[in-house]
Amino acid sequence: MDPRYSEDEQVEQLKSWWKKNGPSLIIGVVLGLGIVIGWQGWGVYTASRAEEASSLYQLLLGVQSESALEAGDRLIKEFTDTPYAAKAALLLAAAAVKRGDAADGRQHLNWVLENSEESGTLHAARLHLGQLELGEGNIDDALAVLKVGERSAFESHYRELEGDAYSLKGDSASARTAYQESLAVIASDSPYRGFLEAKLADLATIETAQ
Amino acid sequence: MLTTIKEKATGWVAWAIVILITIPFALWGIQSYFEGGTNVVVAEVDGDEITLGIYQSALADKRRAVLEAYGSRIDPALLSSEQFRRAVLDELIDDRLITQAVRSSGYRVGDKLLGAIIRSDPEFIENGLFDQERYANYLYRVGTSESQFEELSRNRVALDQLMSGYHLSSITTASAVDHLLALLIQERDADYALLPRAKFIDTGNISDQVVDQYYQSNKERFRSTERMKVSYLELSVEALAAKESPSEDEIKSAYKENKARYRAPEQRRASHVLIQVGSEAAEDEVAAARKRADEIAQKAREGGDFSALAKQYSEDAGSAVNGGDLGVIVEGSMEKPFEEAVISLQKEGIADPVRTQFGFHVIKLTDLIPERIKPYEQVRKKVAEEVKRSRAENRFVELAEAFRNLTYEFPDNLDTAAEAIELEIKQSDWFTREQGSGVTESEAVRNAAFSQEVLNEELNSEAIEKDMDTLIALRRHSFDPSRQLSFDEVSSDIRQQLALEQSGEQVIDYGKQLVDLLNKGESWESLLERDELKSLPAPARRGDAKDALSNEVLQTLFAAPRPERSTPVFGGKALINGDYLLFQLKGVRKGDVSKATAEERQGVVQLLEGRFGSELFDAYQRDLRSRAEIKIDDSAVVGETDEGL
Repeated sequence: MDPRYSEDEQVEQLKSWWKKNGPSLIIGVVLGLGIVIGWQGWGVYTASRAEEASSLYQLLLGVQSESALEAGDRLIKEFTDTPYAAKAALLLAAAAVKRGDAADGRQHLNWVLENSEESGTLHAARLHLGQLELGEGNIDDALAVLKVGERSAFESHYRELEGDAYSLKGDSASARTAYQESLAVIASDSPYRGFLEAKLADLATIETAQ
Repeated sequence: MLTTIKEKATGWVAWAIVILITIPFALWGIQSYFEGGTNVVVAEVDGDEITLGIYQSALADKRRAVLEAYGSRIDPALLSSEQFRRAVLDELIDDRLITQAVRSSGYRVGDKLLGAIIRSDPEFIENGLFDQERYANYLYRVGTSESQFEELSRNRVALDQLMSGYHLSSITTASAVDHLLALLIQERDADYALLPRAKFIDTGNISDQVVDQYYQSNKERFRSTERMKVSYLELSVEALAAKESPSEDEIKSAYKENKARYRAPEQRRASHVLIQVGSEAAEDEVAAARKRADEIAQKAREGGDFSALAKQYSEDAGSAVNGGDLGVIVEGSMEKPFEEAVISLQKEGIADPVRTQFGFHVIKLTDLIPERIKPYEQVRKKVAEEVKRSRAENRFVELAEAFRNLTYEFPDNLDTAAEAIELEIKQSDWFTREQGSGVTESEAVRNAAFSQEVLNEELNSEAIEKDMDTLIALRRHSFDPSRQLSFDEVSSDIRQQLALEQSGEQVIDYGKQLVDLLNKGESWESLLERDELKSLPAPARRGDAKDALSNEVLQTLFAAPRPERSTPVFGGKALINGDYLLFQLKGVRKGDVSKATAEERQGVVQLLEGRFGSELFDAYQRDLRSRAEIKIDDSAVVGETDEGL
């Protein structure tokens, strides 16, 4: 405080300052508190929803039964804003294909592709869908699904499925390249390496063997 | 100013200030003011810090785990190598990344779910119900608080949920399985021959001039390794024990004092009849199984021949043929309910059926040998050894002090200590820094021998604890420094080495010529006969390899192009062992997947599920890592920051 003013004058200054700025200060504080409390409330709300979804998901992970499948359906319909919806759709897709219902599997995987924003989940869904289409003999559909720019650490898997697709089409040269590129980036400790090498080796010709 | 505040700050102004100050504490807690501080940070993962303390304790944990798993088979140097440190840090970083991902993606485990999961953990269940005491005991055993354990479990469940989306969602179509299966059981009809490299080693082909030139230009490589002999004193419990000769009375009294240790424990031998029912079976199945077990128990109690009952009803095929006999039941080998039933029985008694994960057991105690004390004559030798050993241990403690002092206070000789403690000065064989035999097998002993004091100043070494029961003190006896080896000493080795190198190239050249001849039309049989090579039939499937060599042969054959029409495909390859492989591939039989065994099919399915399941999770982790901003303080990984751990 400025020593040139007496204490009374200082008090006087404070009062007039408060008159001028007081209201806006109060509004500011109230608004700030409101945001903070609102934010925390939102946090509590989303947490409780996530916890509910989590319990349902655990049910789905349990024994395969009617109630498990119901839990999966509910997650997809009602808990789209949680990560559990997409995971449930992936599991339901696998279950559908296992019982021979490719159409249902395809629908679930497409749902993930349309609704999930998590990159790992999207890659998994795309690869599963590619695998499914190959199994159904829809080779061009498979190649279309797999066609995506950013593949990051999933490159080896994408290239392998593309190799399978080309191989089924009879395009050995493209298949070979795809398998070679898949092998080049496969995880060093993958027990699958031998099989990928076998896929590649099986396409050998006199020229490539030289 | 302060007085003004003090005077004025009594009314609403004061309250306003107090409230304003309170808000941050109320909302964000107070803990953030106490956390952090001066901790050194080893790595930062998207702003999340890994401190030196956490890193070091992870390092210690990992080392302990590796030592427990591999014991002395692991080289201790590996555990402090940069590679090892980096791997541990990488693991910590991955942990952080995945924990962050679990949280930020919105996985959450509520109290209710967590409670249900902990309550159904078999570890804490007794008689089919959650047991608070077992839970408390477990927490005590692993040394963690309840809230810590709950937090840990919460994170683990959430992580499992995230992982399950990868592990359990793989789609394995019949066509993908068949594709791999066809490759797995494809058969190739081929012959091969090995052109041995040894045949091409010809030392006569290497001129003296070449050898001399090699020696001159690689002179620094031809030096002898420095070596050493030491004189040493060894004070060991073992040697002291051999000198002890306790009297018969002393042995007897030791036996009496420690009788409890010479007991043969009680032995209970049991037979059982198993009625199978899984732990997750439906209620009516369980009830049916229980009823059958009750009936069998009833029959047995009414005098039925238990072994005949077991043969007739038991669903444990292994023991049923022996009349249900399980032999002596060793504590801890059976599930708890089973063991409790066995312990509760009298000889020839039959227990009420008990349930384990396998189903219901009807148990009969067929033999009971009570606990007994072994007689003196039977254990006399053992007791005598123990008396000697315990006296020797006391003596060792007494003498160790003198041993340390005398070898240190008279650093110019070992004689003083040898005379005072009645030890013999022994002499070692030659040894190098890296290798020794007998007493110098110990790295600690070799290090002491090559230390400044012993090697250069020719003083006694410190007393070395070779192991818990052995002290060694040593001094230099003779030393053989490293020197340049003369041409004559090494010329024949060099000649051998050069001939070997040359033969590697020659065998390949020659092998290629043979392949050329085959491709030009010479027959496999006549060519092999001319070169005195033996044609061997190759195993048919790629999985048929019996050893590294046949594995290499098969890999080459299965990477060869398919023969068109009836012309075989010829080829060759230099093998890892230096020999040259020649082959003729006569035909390829497509695998008939309908003939694959169930195991083969199952194996392929599992592999595919792994590839498009858990491997996707690994890829996801690598993906996380590539996106994250990770800062590593390299000095912590390279440097010796964990000294004193």
